[in-house]
Parts: sequence; structure tokens; C-alpha cells
Amino acid sequence: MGKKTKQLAIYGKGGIGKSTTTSNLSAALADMGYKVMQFGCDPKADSTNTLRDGSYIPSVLELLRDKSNVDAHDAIFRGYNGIYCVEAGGPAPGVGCAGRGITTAVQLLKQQRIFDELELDYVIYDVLGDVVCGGFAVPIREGIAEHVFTVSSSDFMAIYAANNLFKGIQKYSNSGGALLGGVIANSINNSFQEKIVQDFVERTNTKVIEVIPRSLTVTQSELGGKTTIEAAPTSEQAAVYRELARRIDEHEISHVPAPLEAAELRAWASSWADQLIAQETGEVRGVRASI
Amino acid sequence: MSAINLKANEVQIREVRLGSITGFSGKASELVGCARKGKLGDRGRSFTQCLGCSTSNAACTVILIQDGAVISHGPVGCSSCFHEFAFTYLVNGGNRGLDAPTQRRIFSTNLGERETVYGGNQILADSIREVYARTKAKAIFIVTTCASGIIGDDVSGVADEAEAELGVPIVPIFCEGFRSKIWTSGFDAGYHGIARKLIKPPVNKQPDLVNIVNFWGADIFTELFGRLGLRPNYLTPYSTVDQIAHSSEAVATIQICATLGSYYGAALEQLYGVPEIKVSAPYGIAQTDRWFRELGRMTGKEKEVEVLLAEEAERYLPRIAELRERLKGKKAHVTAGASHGHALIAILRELGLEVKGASIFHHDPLYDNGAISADALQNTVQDYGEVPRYSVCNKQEFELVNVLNRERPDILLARHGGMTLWGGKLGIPSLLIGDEHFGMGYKGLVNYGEKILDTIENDEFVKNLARHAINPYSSWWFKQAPDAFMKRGEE
Repeated sequence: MGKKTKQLAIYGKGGIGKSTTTSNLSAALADMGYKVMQFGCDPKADSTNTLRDGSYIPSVLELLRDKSNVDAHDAIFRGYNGIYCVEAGGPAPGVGCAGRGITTAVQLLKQQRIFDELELDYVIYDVLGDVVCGGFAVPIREGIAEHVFTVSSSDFMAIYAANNLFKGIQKYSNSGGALLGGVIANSINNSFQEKIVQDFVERTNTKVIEVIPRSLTVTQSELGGKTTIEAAPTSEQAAVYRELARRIDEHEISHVPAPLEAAELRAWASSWADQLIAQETGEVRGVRASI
Repeated sequence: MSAINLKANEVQIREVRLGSITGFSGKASELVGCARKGKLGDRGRSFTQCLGCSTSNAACTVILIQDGAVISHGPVGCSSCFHEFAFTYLVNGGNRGLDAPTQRRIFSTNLGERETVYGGNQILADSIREVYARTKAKAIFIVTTCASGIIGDDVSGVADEAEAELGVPIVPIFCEGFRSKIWTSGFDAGYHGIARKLIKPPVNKQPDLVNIVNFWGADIFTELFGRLGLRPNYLTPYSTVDQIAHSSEAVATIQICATLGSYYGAALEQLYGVPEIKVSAPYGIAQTDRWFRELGRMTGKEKEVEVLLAEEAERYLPRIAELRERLKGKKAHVTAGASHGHALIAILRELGLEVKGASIFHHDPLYDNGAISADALQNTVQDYGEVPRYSVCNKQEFELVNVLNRERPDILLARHGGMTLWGGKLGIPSLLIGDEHFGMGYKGLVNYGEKILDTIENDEFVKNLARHAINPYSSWWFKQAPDAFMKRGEE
């Protein structure tokens, strides 16, 4: 006890690279000398794979299925550089209640005071993309994570998901819940994509905390069951993740975001879509049109 | 010992925290012997009738608080037990100095399909404000339900927001029925909420104040404690929010039923250093003497206690001796909740009856204080000997009927409504005493002895009833062992 644990939650649309980003962030923070726990909150229970050479670990809910009295220590596994890996797990697709599963798993660790006992510097919740019910909002409620970071590409569906998450954060912000630290722009290949994300964060009163390019190094590393930080520590991509970790480590104050209303978001998206089409078709606009 | 962790919203359920079980059949001494040899095996059943819900026990800890209000956050049926506690409050008020008990302030958010789909936070937030506007309660308790738990409503967040706005404690109590199969987990959930939000750090220690965690028994402690220079602080039924807040200032906490107050006592001791008495409640002479002496030691009233015990013995022992003579050799069966059931066994044995068997609802191998000296079943067995047919029956009435049919005792002693009717239908004189203080101390033995004699001697009604009663169970069932539906190994 005594030590203040920084608790983060990483959200974003499914398949956008949350687990990749989170695992690299955990690895980079661990390399900086911090004690880190990565807590996967997805029924697939694969958040921490690349921290453990691609291997799966038994999830909290798998253990609870076998016996009602689970020692939380049995659900904690060490990964790369000593990172504590936990997977909440959940029911099989199409049955039961995954949201309640997250509530149960998080409560189990809280009740057994694991976060205090391990004297962690960081707990990072990697949460299933869409906040479809109350259970998935558990990590952003009072007393769990303080800062939320959203992973988003410039893809409109990813931005829609981020905007939805902002609504959730706004809702809980009055009752002491987590606030938004910023957006991690992922899979960004060109400045146009970066501009889309940049414009979105400006309109929603937040910021881009780091821009992460799409990279083959990441794919190669993951195919080897490792994070980029572990598999290619000297690569450019690893340097980007280290910079992300450094910025998050320096990050102190989060804010309430200002999500766009559905109609606003549609209008905003279609304005960018027009520009996108113009770029694709080679239409010349703006200042250059008069040249 | 279980560590009290106020950071968590939800209390750990009893089967995890204390290793409690709901299925056992054997001798009482066997169960005591297993208690601290690893984890107790819980046998589980392949068939059960219905049983209670944690919600009811959580409601029991808060509905009777004089100046509180209670909201059930769920479908309205989840609050269908609330009126029982409202009734109890009204009828027992006189025993506790409340001549004009007020209507209980009990509400439900009445969650429907709509709120279950779209979320119940708003209706809960609105309900809290509405309840406060109507009642001006000093504290509002929110009792959760399976529905609110599964949809993941942010009950804590909504409560904290309302608390900041209204300026009175809004206390969430997480007692979803699906979390625990032991309904007494609801007591722990209630006290966990109370410990988080109501109990304040001590300001002025009150060296003559003794907390009594109890139900709604008659006030016998003002007189008894008065002779010791102590004052009782009854918790939580009939108390006020303020009394609960100051319970941290007491010199000690005592338990009327350790299975009820286990968590409250441990919370006060761990958080605010209020020591909890760690011997069994004063039922039967052995436990009465031991308990009062321990209380004397804890409060510095050793001499006064010796005087009190001598006075009580002198006054009641002659009558107890007469009753023993008349009750000698009579056979009894007990059915009750865990620790109070052990108390009833002690009373019966002290009065010279033979306790053939007991059907006790669940079993806690230890309480939250972790003290072996507090193990009520162990103490009863050590003081009074074996109970040959001891069953942890999870309030399964079909098992009770089977056992009663075999044992055919002279009397059935029960603590819960609805259980004595099985004795009655079999023609067994049956006695239900709801007042848990009725059997305490030397006087309690006289109280019970006279009632038991009265019940055994006036058996015409049950004999008649048995002649006309239609038994719902088949003769096949009566040929089976009472634990036939309990699984052989651990569930």
C-alpha cells in the first residue's frame, strides 16, 4: 500500500489493434522499470498472448467455472519482463452474459486486494471494443481506471466507436468515473489519415497522444508470438511504442470529452468523405484549383 | 480471519469468505471435527425445494432502521419480502420502547423490460430523489437485485452522485441472489454497505456503551447491563442512523447470533478497534457464565458480573431444577439458522431434554473474527455433548419432514415461521419463538422450560390436526434416508 497505482483503460473498435497497442505499451512501461499488470477484458481472453510467447492463460472466469472459491493469484501469470498478465475471459459466444463476467472478474481481484498487494505502478485494462452494456463500462467507473485512452484509426467506423465511448465517459464523469486521456491514432499511413483523426479530436475536445504507423514489423513480431518491443527492440516501430509509453507516463490530467451527436458525426464524416473521394479521383480543390 | 475491505463495492460471499456450507448429514461432533481441517466439503443436492434469497437478509439489516428508507433496485417482485420486515417492525416496536412505530419507508424502482434493456441508472437516480423528497430519510439504502446486477447498472456511481446532492448517505448494498447460495450472505452485504457509508470514526469513546448486533428481540439488556453500569446499543433494527454512526465509540460488540452479526463485529474491530466478544451467546448456564465473564473482562466489570451471575443463579436455579425434573428424558428436534440453532440445542440440553437431531439451515466453520472460541456448534457440543443426527439442511422442508417422521420427538423447536407446521401435521407439539432474547441467561431457561412444558402438555390441537392433515409426501419418501438427495461427494 501507499504507492499510487496508475490505472488505465484502453478502449476502441474491435480489430483496431487495441491488444497490440496495449501489450506494446505494457512492455515499454516494464522496460522503463515499472511494475505493470495488463488486464484483458474480452471474452476471447487473448489480450496478453504476445506478452507470453503467444500462449493462452486460464482466465478468471474459466477458473470460476470450475470452482466458486478462486484465489486471484491463480489467475495471475508473469509475462515479458515480469508483467502481470490477467484475462477476465467470459462465456462462449452467444450464451450467458459477458458484461456480468467482467464485473465478476474485476470484483474478484478487488476483493482480494491484489492491486495493493502487488504494489503495481500500472494496471492497464484492455477492454472489448464496443461498450455494449453496463458490464463493459465497469473499468471506467469510480475506483477502477482513472484514464481512458482510445485506439482509433482514421476509419470512420473506428471513429464512430470512439465517439460512442466518449459518450460513456461523459456519462460517468459526473460520478467520479474515468476521464479521457486521449486518442492513440493507430494504423496511420499518411498525413491525410492523420488529419482526419486530428480533426476529430479537436472537435471532441481531446488530443492525439501518439500516432502509430501501420508496420510490418508488428505483424512479424505478432506471428512470432511477441510484442514489437520484445521481438524488434531496436526497430523504428518499437521507438514509437516507447514514445507512447513515455507520453502516457507523463500524462497527468484527463478531461471530459465532448462527443458529437449522431447527426453532427454523420455530417462531419461526409465532409471528409467528399475530400477522400476527391483525393482518390485526383480532383483538384482549394488553393490549387486556381493554379 | 477475513479482512474487511471497504474499497470493494461488494462483499465476498460467505461460502468464499468463511467456507460456509449448506449440505451435511452426520453427527454434530463430526462437523466440528472437520471444521479446521482444510475446507469443509459441501455435499450439494440433486433435488431441492425453494429457499431464501440474500435480498431478504440484506433487507432485514436495514428496513428496521428507524430513520432510514430502503429502495429495491429491480423488478417489483424482488421486494416482495419487504413487507414482512415492515410488519415485524410494527408488532415488536413495543418491546423496544417504540410505542408508536412509524410505517416503514420501503420502495422499489420497479424495473421493467424497458429499463432492463436501456439501463436502470436513470430510474434509480430519480427514485432516490423522489424517496428523499417524500421521506427526508437520514439515510437511503439501495438493495440490488439479479436484474440490476446482470445489466451492470452503476449503482455506486448513481448513489454517490445523489449523496453529494442530497447530503445524506446513500448506501448501495450488493446482494444479487445469484451471487451466493447462502442467503445469510445478504446480512454481510447489508453490513458491508453500512460499514462503508454509515459508521463514522469514533469522536468520543463511550466506555459504558456496548453494541448488540441483533434482530428484534425484547429489550432485556437495559436491565441486565444497568446492573453492570453498561448501556446497550442495539444494532441495527430499531436503531437510528446516528446510533450506527457512533457504534465505533462503544467499548465492545456482542453477538446475539454470530451468524447474523459476524461481519459487523469484525468490521468494527478491524476498522475502529472495538473488540468483539469471541465466545458464544448466553444460552444455557455454561455459555451464560462464560459470556458474562468475558463481557466483564472486556469492560472492566468483573466484580459486577460475579454479583449479577450469583443473583441470577440464586433467583432462577431452583425453578430451573424443577423444570429439569419434569422435562427429563423428553426428546426434542431443533430447526433454525446456524448459530441460533446451536443456542436452542444448548437450552434444551440444559433443561434436561435429549436433542435427537437438528436441522440447521447452513454452517459457518468460523465467523469473520476467525476465533475458534466463537465456534457456536463446537461450544455446544463441548458443553452438552453429541447431537446424533445433525443435518445442515438448507431449509429443505422435505428433509425436515422425513427426519421428524423418524424421530417423532416430544417437541419440535423452531425459529422461523412456516417450519412448525410440519411438526403439527405429524402430531408433534411444536414451538416457535421469534424473540431471540427469550432464551437468554438464567431467566431464559425458565422462559423456555415453561413454554416447552406448556406446549408438550397441551397437545390436543396437534394430535387432532395430525388426524385430519393430508401429507403431501408419499410413503416412498418416508422410506428413504433424509439425505437421499444429497450428493455423496463434494458438489
